Amino acid sequence: MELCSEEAVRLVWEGAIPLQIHLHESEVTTLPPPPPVLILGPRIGYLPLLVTVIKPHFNDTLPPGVDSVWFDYKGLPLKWYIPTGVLFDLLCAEPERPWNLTVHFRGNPGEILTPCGGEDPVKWSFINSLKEAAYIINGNCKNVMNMSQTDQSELWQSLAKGNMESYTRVSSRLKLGPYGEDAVMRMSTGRIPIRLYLRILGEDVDDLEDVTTIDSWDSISYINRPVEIHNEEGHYITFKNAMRSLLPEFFDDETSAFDHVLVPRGDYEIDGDIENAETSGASGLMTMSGQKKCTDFVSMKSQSPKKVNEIKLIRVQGIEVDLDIPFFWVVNNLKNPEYFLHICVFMVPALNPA
Amino acid sequence: MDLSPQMIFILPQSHFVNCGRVQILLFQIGLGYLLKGYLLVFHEGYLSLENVYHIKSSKELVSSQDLFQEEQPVDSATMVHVPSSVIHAYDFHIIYSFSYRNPVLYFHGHKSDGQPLDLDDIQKDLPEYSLKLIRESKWTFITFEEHPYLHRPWYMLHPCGTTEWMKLLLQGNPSAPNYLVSWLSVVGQAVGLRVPSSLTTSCFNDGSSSSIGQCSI
Repeated sequence: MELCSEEAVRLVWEGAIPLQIHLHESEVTTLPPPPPVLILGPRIGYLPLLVTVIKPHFNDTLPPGVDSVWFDYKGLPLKWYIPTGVLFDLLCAEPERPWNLTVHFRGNPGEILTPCGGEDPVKWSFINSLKEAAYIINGNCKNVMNMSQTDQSELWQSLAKGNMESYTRVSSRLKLGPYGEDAVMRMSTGRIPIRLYLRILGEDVDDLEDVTTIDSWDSISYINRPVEIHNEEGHYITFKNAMRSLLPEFFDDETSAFDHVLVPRGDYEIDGDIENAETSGASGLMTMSGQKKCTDFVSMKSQSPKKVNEIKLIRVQGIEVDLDIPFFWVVNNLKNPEYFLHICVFMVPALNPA
Repeated sequence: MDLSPQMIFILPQSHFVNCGRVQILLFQIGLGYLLKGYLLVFHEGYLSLENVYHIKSSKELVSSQDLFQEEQPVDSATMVHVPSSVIHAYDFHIIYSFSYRNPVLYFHGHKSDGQPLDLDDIQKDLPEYSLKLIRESKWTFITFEEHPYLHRPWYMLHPCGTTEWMKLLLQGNPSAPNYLVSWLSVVGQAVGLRVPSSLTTSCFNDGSSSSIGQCSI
């Protein structure tokens, strides 16, 4: 199998969400109100990068004041540092096309949302994520830190403008992939940067169309968590192996991931499993998290001990990925330009708890 | 087996109580080696040091005990002789990063009226060398990021050089008590927190081999 398919990468780069963007009614000062803007939002892009296109449509009706632009989806403020495609995959369980978003030019909700204020914060959020990914892959960020200003700027501009050729040319100098290539693997730590998003859907969701909208980020948990690309024997793992290392409690060798039902443990001790703690995956981390604000499937269980969850759907770049394909192939082809693979996992309460 | 830095963060609270050397570390900090009167509190997932006061006239963060005399009831706000408008209260959280395999310092601050501090306010409280770093590298030294547990915006000190300077500091001796104190002694300086040299010295002279075997769990 090819290490990296140019066709697949091109499809990721060309992937876009059709957006219908409305100006929030509190900022409409003219009659008739301005019509919504229809625009394609690149999957790998970020919402603030669309502002220069959107703003001229609404400029004449805005109330006086200084811009602090932010977006919401049905009242939920959208985190601008999450790529647009990931927001769509995560928040629209059943894809909504066009995706109706609301833009606000005033009054950023600073308590829950980091203010953006232009392209620079987005660029640096991207570069800092790239550094984090480089650290995971190589054990240091030197390749990113030592980039020339010109390369750094070109890398960013290629993402902002959707220029895949320019991006590929500059990013290849970072020597962060593709996985499977001996020269790269010799330099690397064998760890893959993953950003895992977990969303628990409501009761009795047989059909994704029935999923209710999210009104708070508290019902979603997400973490950056590296995954080893090899198993203990040094063999490349499958996507399923990778998911098992992230969410070990939801996978079992004898049953498929989707049949398996987790019986919650009575307490949340780590059971002396200290040596394995780093490899025990995301649920291990969340087991530790006692914060009520950090809702996740484990804390849900602790509130209602008889309730169990199971995985309903795993989505990467809008695709339900086959669990048996090699993990490095998923990473090489479906990662975002900052070298993180963003994985959305939907959980539902299990129908027949064991 | 040595306690590696991440293990400080994954041990449940009960382990702390029973684990001799780590307990000592926390007690030393709690009993006043670091910022008299402050206790580094373990939350599951992160360590926190909260309500650290900064008085405008001084470049150093001071403990609440310097403001509120210890014999007084805790709520005797009238004991404060400093105009409340210049008091900034900071919360520091130490969070283990699985990406960087190091602790990362997150912080936020607020004024006495509860208003959060923005970066301009915070800069007034930072030591000069941090201001210089902020001017030189606005986006790669301190940035406003999402707190990994609270999912709210907090300031974060970028960690990507940590491994290198920690290697130098520890000289190949990465046992946990040394690790966290040494780490804090360097990182804390960037935000004006000081770890007294007596604490780091005692840790360095104290041998190295913390082991899980010492835990009576």
